[in-house]
Amino acid sequence: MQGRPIKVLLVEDNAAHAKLVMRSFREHAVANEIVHVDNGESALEYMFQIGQYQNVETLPDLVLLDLRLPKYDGLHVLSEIKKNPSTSSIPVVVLTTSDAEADVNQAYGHHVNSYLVKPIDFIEFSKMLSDLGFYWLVWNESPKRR
Amino acid sequence: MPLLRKYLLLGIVPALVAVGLTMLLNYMMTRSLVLEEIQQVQQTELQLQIARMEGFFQNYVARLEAIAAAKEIQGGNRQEILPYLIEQRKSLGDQIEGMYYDELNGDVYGVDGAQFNVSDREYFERVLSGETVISRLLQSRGSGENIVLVLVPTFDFAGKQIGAVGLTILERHLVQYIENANVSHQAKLLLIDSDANVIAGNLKSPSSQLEDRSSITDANGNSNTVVIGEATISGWSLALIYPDDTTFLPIFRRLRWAQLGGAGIGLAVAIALGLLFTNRALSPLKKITAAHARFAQGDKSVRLPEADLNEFAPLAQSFNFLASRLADAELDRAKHLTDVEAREARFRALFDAAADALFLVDANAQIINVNDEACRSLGYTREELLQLHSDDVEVKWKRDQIVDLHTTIVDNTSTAPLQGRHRRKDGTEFPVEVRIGRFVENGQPLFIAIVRNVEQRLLHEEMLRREKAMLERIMQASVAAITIVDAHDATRYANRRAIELLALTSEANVFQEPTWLRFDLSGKPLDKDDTAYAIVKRTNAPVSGVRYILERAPGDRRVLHINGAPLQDEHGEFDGAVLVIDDVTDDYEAERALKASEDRFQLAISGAQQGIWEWEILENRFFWSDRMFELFGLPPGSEAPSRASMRERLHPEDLTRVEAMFGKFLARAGKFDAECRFRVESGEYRWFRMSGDGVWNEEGEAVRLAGAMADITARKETERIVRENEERYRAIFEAAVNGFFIYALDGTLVDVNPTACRLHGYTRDEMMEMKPLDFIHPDSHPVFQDFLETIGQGNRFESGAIGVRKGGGVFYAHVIGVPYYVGGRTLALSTVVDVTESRLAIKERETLITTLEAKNTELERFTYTVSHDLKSPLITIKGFLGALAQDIDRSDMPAVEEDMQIISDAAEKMKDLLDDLLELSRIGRVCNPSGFVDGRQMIDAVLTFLAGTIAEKQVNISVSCDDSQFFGDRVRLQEVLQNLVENAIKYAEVGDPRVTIQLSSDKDNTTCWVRDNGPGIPAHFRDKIFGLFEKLDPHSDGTGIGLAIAKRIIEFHQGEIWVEANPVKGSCFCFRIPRDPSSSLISTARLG
Repeated sequence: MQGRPIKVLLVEDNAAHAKLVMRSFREHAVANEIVHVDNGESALEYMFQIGQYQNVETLPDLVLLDLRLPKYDGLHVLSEIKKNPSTSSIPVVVLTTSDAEADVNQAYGHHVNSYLVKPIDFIEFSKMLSDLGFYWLVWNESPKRR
Repeated sequence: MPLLRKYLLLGIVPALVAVGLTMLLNYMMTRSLVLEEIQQVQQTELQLQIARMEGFFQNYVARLEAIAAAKEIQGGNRQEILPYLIEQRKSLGDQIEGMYYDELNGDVYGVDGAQFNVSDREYFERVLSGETVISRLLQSRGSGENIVLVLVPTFDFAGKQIGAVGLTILERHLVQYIENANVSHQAKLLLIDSDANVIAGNLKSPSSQLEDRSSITDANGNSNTVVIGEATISGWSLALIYPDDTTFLPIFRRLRWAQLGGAGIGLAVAIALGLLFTNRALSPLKKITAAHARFAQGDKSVRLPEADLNEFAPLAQSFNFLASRLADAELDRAKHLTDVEAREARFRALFDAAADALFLVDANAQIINVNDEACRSLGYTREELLQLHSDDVEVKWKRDQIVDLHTTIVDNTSTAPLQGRHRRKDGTEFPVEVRIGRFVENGQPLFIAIVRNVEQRLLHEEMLRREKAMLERIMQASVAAITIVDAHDATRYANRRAIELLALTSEANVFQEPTWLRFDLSGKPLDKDDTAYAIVKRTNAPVSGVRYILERAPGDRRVLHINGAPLQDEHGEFDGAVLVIDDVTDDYEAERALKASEDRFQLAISGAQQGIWEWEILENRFFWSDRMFELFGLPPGSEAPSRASMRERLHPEDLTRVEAMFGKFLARAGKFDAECRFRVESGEYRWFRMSGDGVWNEEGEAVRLAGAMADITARKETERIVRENEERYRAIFEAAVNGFFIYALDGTLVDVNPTACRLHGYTRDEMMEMKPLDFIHPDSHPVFQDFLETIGQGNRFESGAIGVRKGGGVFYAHVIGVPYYVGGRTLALSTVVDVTESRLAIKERETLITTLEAKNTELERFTYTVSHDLKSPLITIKGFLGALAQDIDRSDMPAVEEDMQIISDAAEKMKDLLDDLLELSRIGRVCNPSGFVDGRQMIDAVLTFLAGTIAEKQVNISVSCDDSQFFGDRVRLQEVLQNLVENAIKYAEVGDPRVTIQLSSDKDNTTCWVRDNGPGIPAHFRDKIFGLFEKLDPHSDGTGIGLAIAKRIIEFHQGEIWVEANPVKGSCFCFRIPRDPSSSLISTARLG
């Protein structure tokens, strides 16, 4: 398929949840590289290659974003990514425990690509992440980035 | 014979030779004489023609000069000149093509509106040098025809050239004029311009050939004599072409015949007669010459008898013709002179007949001419005056002043009237008004002074002024108000009383009254056509006794009595009115009272309304008028009831009273005038008023009584209703649960009811002594003003207000006010309800709603956060249980251990969250007793509690605290401080941890600061950290609820908590709570 490594940025403050996600991706082998940051500020630094991440060379192919995050929250991170032309075409998938209507509406208001509520069941969770990975990273065709 | 031959030869031959020579000589001499004579005649005729042509132009020049001398032209103003020229043009006939006004710059303005510039024309230079110019112009822009331009310069009154006026004549008129000339001997008259063009006259031969020739041969081969002369007026030449065969040849022919005849008669007598012939032949010529000489010497009547002159008759004819023409021209000139003299005479007549004295003076004030009035007014003769200067008769003005004044008058407008004083010959003086005008005559400026004796006028003016002043004083002093209104309804004059009564204001000499309401005496608004002024204006006749009511303010009504008279102009037309206004309010009231009593009297004697009764006591006989029977419901004419029966009809309640009064009356100890009830025929009792008088005899016995009786049941009924109403309203007023206040419109309290007194806590007497503003809160004073104004305008009033109770307490009042009319006076009635309690209740409710809304919002937020954060560990646990199953399948023991640890941590986390939530929910719900907290003690307690951590981390703690105490929940506040200090220790710089605690109080608040030297908190996260379960560092211990709890505790103490920027390094948490125990108590009570 694509001739370069596939990278996913996981923004998740809950270390246990992060482990679950990474484990699922690893098992289904949909991504070559998963970068995990645990707060909104770091996520933005990574996406815009500043601060501690100023030497990052390639942007992720997919961003998995929790909403409740320390420092900047997920909606803020989402809106910054979608506002900026250099990052706006990167698919962002919100992955959160909240199914509150306000959160869903706001996320779509900021042009999120998908909004997923974390299922409680592990198998289901794992399956969902696998489908998610295949959909966004393998099947979906995004605009080419320079 | 030789001798004979010799004599013959000697006699005849010389005789023949002599005769021949004589004839030749004679012929030549005669011919030259004749020629000279003819030429002289021809020259004369030419000059005549030139004069005639000049006359043609002179006519126009004269008209133009007359126009140029007109004041409109001398004024030099083009706006005046052109219309004047247009006017003049009309009188100038159709030979004129156009008229023009040339300005010095060459701009030309035609009467036909044309405008062009001629400054480049040759003739214009001549115009500028003041010459009259006559110039021929080819193809005029007006008509396209050749024209002749006549231009006359114009001068202003100072003699300075200002332009020129001109007219143009169609050349064909000139040509016609020339060709119509009557010339002798069929001669032709040619007009030749300065460029040698033949303009008039018909000659085939080119004109240029005429220049230097005295004769030409025409196309028929006939020779002609040419005479050319230059007409000075235009640089033109006139030429007369005489055909020789009608002038010279007959003369010469006859001359020859005569001489040949003489030769034929005899040679012998030739010699003898030669001279005689010569002499005879020359004598007519001599006569002609003599006639010329006499004519030249002035004998214009000389004429030659043509018959006597035989062959010289043509010459005589020419002479006679020319002489006649010259005589005619002379006559024309004489007629012109006569015209001028007539005009002069007319001016003279005007001058002399003028009603004003006229003085014509020169620039040096020398009197040059005066009219009869001037002589008469000063008592001098004309001759005497002509010896004097202006200042000899003028007292006020010195000669140099007059001369100076003359220099200031520059154009034909005369001066404004100047005030002067003239002295008569007898030395008496009189005031005059002088106007001086200037004009130019023969280039000499002259001044005409028009002098009017103003002695009488000044006298009249002074008298008028005094009369006016007198009138003004009288009017000002008048007790009546006086106004004068002009025909345009503007009040032009008002005396003091009028200004006061009508409250007039004056602006730009016009008096204005406020918009008063006017009513007629019955109280209806007055029609504006019924005011005294309107009546006077409508009828143009005096009016008196107009009365109406003027409402100057609500309740202030004045009755005005007005007399008015029209002012009329000289045609008797209405030109304004004088109004005399009396304030008769008091009289009117008195009159009305009088009238009321009159009415009563009328009522008393009116048989129609009242019944009349008479009682002859001694005879015990009653007489009743018909009305009496009617009143009692009895048929008229029946027998009058007896005294006993009347007493029986009297209402039992009234019996004693009436009998007592009647007894007194009969004893002459009182009047008889009673109001009492009688039973009438229908059985009902009716009220009657009964009055009477009596006649007593000498013994003091009443012999006769008479009186009147009127049914007053209706009145009594009305009175009863009014009384009942009054009582009812009084009862309401007294018993009302609302406070009633009655105010006059000026704000004074008129009445209050007991409730009103109770509201304010005063007695009625105290209230009535007070000013309303004393029992109304200052914040509501504007409301009271508004109340009075609104009622004053007749409107309803409703508002909230604050009342003051005796002793200084206040209450909230709801006030409704309405106008209340009593006895023609407007009062303000207000009802007041104490709404303090309901107001407080409303406020309480609003506060509760606000609090509830806030709590609701907080609850929503709380629920959201809790559900999210509690779900999180659940997902972890379930997720890793799934992972655990996988790892067990794979027998990956390290992974299994890790999974189980994660599950255990998540369960632990969940327990912590639930504990914290419980803790959070306890705040507010579970209250520790509040009390005074000592700041220093609280800090010490916290430090003691944390002593272990501090020692372990070797934290440098510094404390700064004043002795302040504050009110609050000590346990909770200590928790807050502990939380902040723990955080500070946690984030302080590793290696050199420093924490500063500071606490101080001012009058109202106690503030506490906790600083550390850690990394600090970026400004944009400072608000977020107080949120529920918010953590900046995901790896830090705790659930992120500590600051949320701290915030909640501080808010319950009505305080606030925030993060300040630490000036050096690290973060600085602060909280502030009010020291006031009451607010703290209330909040605890309310929100708990």
